[in-house]
Order: sequence, then C-alpha cells, then structure tokens
Amino acid sequence: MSTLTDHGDPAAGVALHKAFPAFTREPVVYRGDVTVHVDVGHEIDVIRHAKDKLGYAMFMDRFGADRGEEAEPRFDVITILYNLKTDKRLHVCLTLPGPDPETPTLIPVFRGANWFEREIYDMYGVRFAGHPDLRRILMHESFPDFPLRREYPVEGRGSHQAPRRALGGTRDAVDGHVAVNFIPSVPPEAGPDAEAGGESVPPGGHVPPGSKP
Amino acid sequence: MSDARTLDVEIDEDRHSEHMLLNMGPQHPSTHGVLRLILELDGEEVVKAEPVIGYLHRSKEKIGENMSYHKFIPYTDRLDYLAPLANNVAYAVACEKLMGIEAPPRAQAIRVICAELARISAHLLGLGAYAMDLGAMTVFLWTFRERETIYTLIERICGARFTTSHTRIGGLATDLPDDFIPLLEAFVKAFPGRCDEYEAMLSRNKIWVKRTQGIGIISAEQALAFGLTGPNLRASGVDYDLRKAHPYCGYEQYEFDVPIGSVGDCYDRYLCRVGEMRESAKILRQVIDTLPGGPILNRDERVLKSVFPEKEKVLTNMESLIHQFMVATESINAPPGEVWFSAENPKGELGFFLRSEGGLSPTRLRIRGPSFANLQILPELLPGHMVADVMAILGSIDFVMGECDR
Amino acid sequence: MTTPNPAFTGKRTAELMVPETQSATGLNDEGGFFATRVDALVDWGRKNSLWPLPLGLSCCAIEFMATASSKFDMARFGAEVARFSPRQADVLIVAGTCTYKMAESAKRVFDQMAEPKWVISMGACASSGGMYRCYSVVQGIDTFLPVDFYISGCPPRPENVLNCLMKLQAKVAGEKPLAELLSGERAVVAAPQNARPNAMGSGSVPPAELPEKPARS
Repeated sequence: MSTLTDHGDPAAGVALHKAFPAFTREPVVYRGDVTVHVDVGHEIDVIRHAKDKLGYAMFMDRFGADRGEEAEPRFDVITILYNLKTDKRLHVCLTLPGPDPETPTLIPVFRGANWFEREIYDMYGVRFAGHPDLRRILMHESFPDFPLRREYPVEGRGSHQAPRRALGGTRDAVDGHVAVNFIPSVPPEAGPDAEAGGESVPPGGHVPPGSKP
Repeated sequence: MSDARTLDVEIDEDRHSEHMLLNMGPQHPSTHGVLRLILELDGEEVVKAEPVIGYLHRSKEKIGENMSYHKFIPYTDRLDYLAPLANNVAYAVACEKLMGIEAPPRAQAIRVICAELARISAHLLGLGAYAMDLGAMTVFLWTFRERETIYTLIERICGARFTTSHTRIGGLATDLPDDFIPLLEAFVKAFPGRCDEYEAMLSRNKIWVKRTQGIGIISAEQALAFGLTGPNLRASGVDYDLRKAHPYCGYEQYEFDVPIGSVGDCYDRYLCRVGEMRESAKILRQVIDTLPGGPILNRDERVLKSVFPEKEKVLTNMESLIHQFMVATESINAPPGEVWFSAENPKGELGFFLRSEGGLSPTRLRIRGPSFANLQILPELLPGHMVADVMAILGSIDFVMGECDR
Repeated sequence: MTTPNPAFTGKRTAELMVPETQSATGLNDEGGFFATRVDALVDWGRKNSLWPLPLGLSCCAIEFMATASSKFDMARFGAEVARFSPRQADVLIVAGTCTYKMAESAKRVFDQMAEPKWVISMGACASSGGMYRCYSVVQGIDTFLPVDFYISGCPPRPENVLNCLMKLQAKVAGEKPLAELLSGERAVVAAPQNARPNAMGSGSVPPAELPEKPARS
C-alpha cells in the first residue's frame, strides 16, 4: 500500500540548515514531513536559497498559525514548497513575536504569495513589509478583529459583524446587531446614503486595532 | 523626424482611453458562485482586473480548531461542494497521517471509487456550466443527466446526494451495498460513450474552438509561481499529479494516464478535464476488478475508541454503554505533532495542515483550497482580453468558492 | 399521506366560466370570451410563471441547478426561466450560506426586484445559519429579508425544492392583489428608489462609488 511518510526529504532540510547554520534550526521530521525553522528577518533568503539552489520551485502554500495568547514567540508563518524534480515537500516555519508581528513579504520570490499573505494578515494580523496591497481579503473591510487568533470566539464578538450600511437596518441598542427585517418589502424613502444615517463607516474601511498605516 | 510633417496640433493621448469600471458579481451567473470581479475596461478590452473574494467565508478553519477530529468531517463536504467525497477522503487521510494509522485495503479501494466518482461529477458540472456560459445549453443538460446517475450511485453508498460525510478516520462509515458494483459497472461501461457525445458537441464546434483556443494562455512559469494545481497546471504542460507523485489510497496499483496540455489556453484546460474523466472511468474499471474483501475500518485501538458501539449492545451491556459515553465525550486523542497532507482533488491540490498539541481537537487546521490559488492568477491573466473572454477564462479555470473562501 | 398537499386540493381560483353556447373550438358565436374575477386571472398568471432569481451562494445552488435541469425539470411548474437580473424576477431563491459580507449584495438584489416578489430561503444555512455558528455567517437571512418559505435540508433534495415551489404557487393563488389595491390596503409601489445601478447592478460605476479601489502601480 502507498505510504504517507515519504513526502519530505530530510537531506534537503539538512542542506538548507547547512547553508544558513546561524539562522536556521536543525530540521524537524515528523511522519516524513520536514520542517526547517527560521529566525526572524532571514526567511526570504532561506526560501530563495531553497528555490534557486535546492530546486523547490513550486509555491504550494503559506499560512499562519497561532500558538496561543501566552506563548512567546506567538505566531508561525509556514510556507510549503514543492520540488517537481524529486517530488518532495519542504516546510519552512518562521516564528514571530506576539505583539506587533511583522516580516518581509515573499512576493519578490514567489508572486503567488500575494493573496496568501493577505489572508494571514486578515486572520492573524501579521503584517508583511513591502506587500503592495495588504488589505483584508476574506472578511469585509470594516471588520475590526483577527478571527483566527486563539482567543477570538468562534461565534464572533457580535457588535461588529455586519457592515452597517450593508443591511440598511437600524442598529440595535442592546448588542449592536443589525436589526431585523422590513415587512412589507417597501423600500425606504431615501437611498442607502440616508439609510446609513448617523454613524457611518469611514471611507476606506475601518483600520483594525494594532495595525499601522 | 521631418519638421514639415509635424502637425501643429496637440493630440490628447487620453482622449480615447477613458476607462470604465465594470463590476461583475458577486451575484452573476458566470462567476459560478460569489466571486466578484472589478474590471477596468478600455472599450471592450480589459485593462485591469481585481477579484474580490470572501463572500463565502464560512470560517471552517476556526470551526475545525474548536471541535474534535471526527466532527469536522461534515464540514469537509462543503469545501469543494462539487466533489464532497474527494474532500472526505483527503481529510480522513490527513488525520490518519497525523495518528499514524492506515485504513484497511478494502476501505482504501472504496475511497478510490469515491474520489474518482467525485472527480467525474465535478468535471461534468464544470464542463456543463462552462459550455452554458459560452452559449451551449445542451451540454449542460447532458452532463446533468450523467450527474444524476452518479448521484444515484453516491446515494447507494452513503444515503445522501452530495453531503456525504462518508469517510471515518481509519476507514469508512459503511460498506458498499450488494447491488452497488453492478450499478457502477453499468455506469463505467456507458460513460466513455457519453464523453464522446460531449466531445462531438464541443471539440470541433467552430464557436467553441474560436472562443477557447488561444484565450487565457497560462505559461508553465506563471502556473508554478502562482501555485496553480490540478487540470489548470497540467494544461500548461507541467506533469504534476499527486496520484502519481505521492500515491495515497493505493493509487499506484492502477494504470492510468495523466492528460497534459501543451499551450495552456482555455481549450487545453477543457481537453484535460475531458481526458481526466475518461481516465477516471478507467480507474473505476480497475477498482471493480480488484476490489479486495475484508474490513472497512482499521481495528487500531485509537480508532476503535472513536467508533460508536452497536446500539443494541449499548442498551444491554455495561461496557458498551461506557464505551458510547467515552466516544461521545472524548473521541480521538491525537499525538502532538504537525502534518501536511494533500490530495489530488478535481480542482487541484486540496491540502490539510493539522497541528496537534495532543488532545481532542487540532490547534491549527489549515485548508489549502486549490481554487484560492487558481483564482489568484486572474489579475495577471485577464488584462488584454475582451470582456466576453472573461467568461471563457472563468469557466475554464473552473473554481468553486466554497474552498476558495473556506 | 394524511395531510393533503394544498397545491393539489386547494380551491381552483381561476374559475373559468364558459358559456353554454360554446362551440367545439372552445369559442362561442361572439368570438370567444370567458368570465372570471380579475384577481383570479392575475393569480393564475402569476403562479404559473414564477421567474426565480437563484441567488446561488454555495452548495444549495448545485441542488438548485439539479432541480432546474434534466431529471427534475422545474419547467413543469412554469419556473424554468431563471433570471439573474433582479428586475425580471419574481422569486428570490437564496440558496446557500449568506455571510455578512454577502448580505449587502443579497439585500440589494432583493431591493431591486419589482413587486410582487417572494423570497424562498433554501437550505439550513440560509434559514438559520445551519451548521455555521460562527463570526462570519448571518444566522438566517430572515434577519434582513422577508422570507415566505423555508426549505429544510442541507442541502434540500430537488423534490423538496419543487414541493416548496408548489406551496408558493398555492400561496400566490390565494392572494387578492386587485381587491387590496382597490380597498387601499396596498399602495402602488413605484420602482424602488434605493436600488441604484451601482456596485451591484450592471452598468458603469463611478470610481468614487467603489469602496475597494485597488491602489496599485
């Protein structure tokens, strides 16, 4: 039967570590997956080396992970690369500090990292220096939190789920949910601009807390 | 430059290039779901394209990090909702890799049946919707005829038309019913003829050829840089199929070819999909011939710990009652560690990253939806094409928003 | 089946009163007429030409496609003309999970539809959020749309969708649009004012209208 534990190449992990002994850890091998941990600030060089010298030329994935509120360093940014010649995968893991996580963008090496980095920013609030278009990608622009952080509840925090203008409702005084329903479905007299009424969404969307312009 | 020829008129360079912004979606029939495209047009020509996604972000990753491994299986149905069985298989194998167990041979063979049926059904829908976008309604009705046959088969396997939740970690929920194999055989026998019908409608159809050939060319370099996978990558001439590169579920036992394109245009992607459907039928044929017997669930202790005992025993037997209680409250305890597993899904490489710190649920469940990467190429691919070609390109990329937005 | 389906057993509303002097061709000597209540005629026309707008958001859209295509053939109920332009549709079928980001568009599509209009919430997600109790999903589209019918299932089988369509036909057949209009119960509604042809509709969009103008070189 086919085996699931030969997907990585430990030799490549060792070679990568040998090339950057000061900035990388010994590769970790678990169930055949090879992960190289990199220090902050050197990720781009290491990945470029893996691409140009070791043949890991296919960009597969880049995503974030959270180790929990107390952990320090807190955030992981994991990049999965693929070698089409040897059919092996390589994981490169970068760990960032909890407050103010920031790292250079991978776009100069792989153009495809663009949306993946936007997603990491959207979900964890990790900023990528030099990214040309670092905006939210999955959530709407006025969403204030980073939902995949461990302390964020699955069901959300309620008060900010809907862009207000969107549903054209009036804001419920209690918990800030957009209020319910209009029956009969006769449109309001004025256009949506008037609907937005008192408090309006700032142009360009809300700037999430903790992010720098 | 001769001075005599110089006109004494200042020509406004921008006079004819007043750009228009055109919004497509998220409610638009040819965006196949809730993709939104903001197109900047110069006349009929696309100058800039900006896809906006996230309209179907259902926070699956967050949900998965807050429930046990088994409970997440129904959510995988709704990732690529055109091929739920294939998603089930990918997720189950990823969990098995984390636990370090394997499904028994019969379960693996049935999983191959599931994955290939899902592939055919997804490509059929992709092809039908694509043809309808370009004005060929008949193909849509014909492909749905076969899809209904496949739905009947899937219903026989698991009781639902497409939210299947059929796999379990370490095996399957149910074995095949007795009358399934003859039904499948009849389908596999008839299917190549059906493919011929679609091809007769399209492959040499002048309108189809003119609207797809030379449109939306993706070079191999581009495809690799953007992480394209599946038929979109193979149409660009890159021979990369996980069923060959990293066989899982015993794919190495079956003889099949991987269709590879040469140009990388919409027509090549269409040909690759039709070719893949034919190859899938071939694989199904071989699975029918070699289907092994035996159990469908790994009897590993950790797996047994996660399976409900028979209801009758629960009501009469103390140990079974305790067992039922333990399953309901504890389920599987995974060892600490992190694994990545990806499977060759109809749309491309569906990857699962599981990080466990021990305990009942993963601390990180990452889903790499192939459509997410496949769509990312649009801002580079669309400029230079006509507005009408946008539909042709979108249809040929064949994405599904469920796994793009997750 | 103890409970009869109202679509089958309900009172026939289009009471066609054919004069006894009718000839074999169905026309009488005066050139052919039949008498009925205007309400009944309007209802009869409306219920047999319900044009749906399938707002296909996710998985349920696939089952809606199955309902519309070969095997189940929604054309039998006069509802095969799926219109993706809200101006031409009568029934908004919200098929799938509605996220907060999508809710804006869904609402605007509904606002753009002309009266009379009905809303069907197809599947568990649209009806209640379904299995997605999470930060991004609207917990039921009835928080911002007036839903007429909910279809259970995840996703509903095509038979269930057709059943709902028949129920809707029965409901439409029971309405009295003209009587309400004459008695003043219902106001004549002009085209919705707040449904501008901007970011949701077709046509050109002034750049300032777009919230997410990409700032790229």
